[in-house]
Amino acid sequence: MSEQAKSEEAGDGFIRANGWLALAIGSIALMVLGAWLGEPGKIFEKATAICLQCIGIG
Amino acid sequence: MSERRTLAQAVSTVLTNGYIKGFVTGNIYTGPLKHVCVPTLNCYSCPGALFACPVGAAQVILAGGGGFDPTAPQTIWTKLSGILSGTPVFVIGFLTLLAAFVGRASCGWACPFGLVQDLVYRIPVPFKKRGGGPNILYYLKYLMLLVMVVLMPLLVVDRFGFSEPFFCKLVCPAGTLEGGVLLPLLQPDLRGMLGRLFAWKTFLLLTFLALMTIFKRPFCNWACPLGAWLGPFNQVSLYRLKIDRERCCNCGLCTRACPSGLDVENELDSADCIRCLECVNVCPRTAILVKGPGFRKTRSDAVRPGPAEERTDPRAAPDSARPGHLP
Repeated sequence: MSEQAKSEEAGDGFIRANGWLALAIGSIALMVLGAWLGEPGKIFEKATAICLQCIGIG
Repeated sequence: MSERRTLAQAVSTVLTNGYIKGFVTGNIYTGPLKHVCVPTLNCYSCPGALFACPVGAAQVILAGGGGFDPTAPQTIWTKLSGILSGTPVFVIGFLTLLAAFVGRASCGWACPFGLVQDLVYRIPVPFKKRGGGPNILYYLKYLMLLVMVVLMPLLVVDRFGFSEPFFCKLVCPAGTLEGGVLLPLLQPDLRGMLGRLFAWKTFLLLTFLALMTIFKRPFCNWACPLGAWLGPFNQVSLYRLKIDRERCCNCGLCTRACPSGLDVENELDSADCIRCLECVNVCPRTAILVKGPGFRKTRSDAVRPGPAEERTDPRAAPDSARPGHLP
């Protein structure tokens, strides 16, 4: 295996090994941003009324 | 394992639909828990639903027109905040956080509609298939996510700039089963409002129910937008599956056990894997391992059967010596 192939494989391994951490941090940031923008309130508003579309009426 | 997973799915179904009063009165739960989504497809119009559905919630945010006001002074900040408030960042963050740890495990262990599919598949029919159906259909769920959940709520708008949750309205059989069937039964007023759309959704639900008797999890594999979002994270999640090629004897037990109908040896970290771990538990050679904190990474401490033992009894290794085996 060439040096370049080895280094590419190592890079891929690094992403596969640590990608979850980057995702987790990014996800938490998105959740904080969403909460700050009042998204749970919008979800609550919709989820506490009968969704006519879900039933097949709306 | 199968029984244990069924139990976990049943417990999750009961916990997420634990508003008993709703099943009696026909009035849905309106308490504070509905601020929160569950990582499964569970209609928030089910009389017992205690939490919000992430797919429905995402569409509602996208369909709401956001906070973008074309008449307001257009600074970068107003544009950005307008776009952000019309994007379901909280839902995306929540689902991605879960997927970063366990990939699509919520589909395998917690989804009420997944439980329905697993149970219906047990009904004996003469033309049952072992797999999950034609491969091309597996891509349909990505189209469903892009078109029905994202593009249509964004682009098909009324004159006030508002749209609808089109996946819920036109497709979602979980909504029909949990909300569409139960609520009109409990609320006579709603029965008079049922029309062509309800007939279409009922037809779709019955079609999926019929397909569930033949194929393994047809809705998850072909049409679930939630699975389409969570699936690709299987490749990078903290807990993953790993196969020891040297140890694998190609017996095919794992493929037969897979509820997603995958060719497990070749599709171990596939986006269609629901992380049910059936393959790990049926493997007679302990060739499939769970990789992640809390699970042993190597089998150096495992009792490895000798060549003669392997030929005569592939289950020679005791459970205690099976790394990756659930405690």
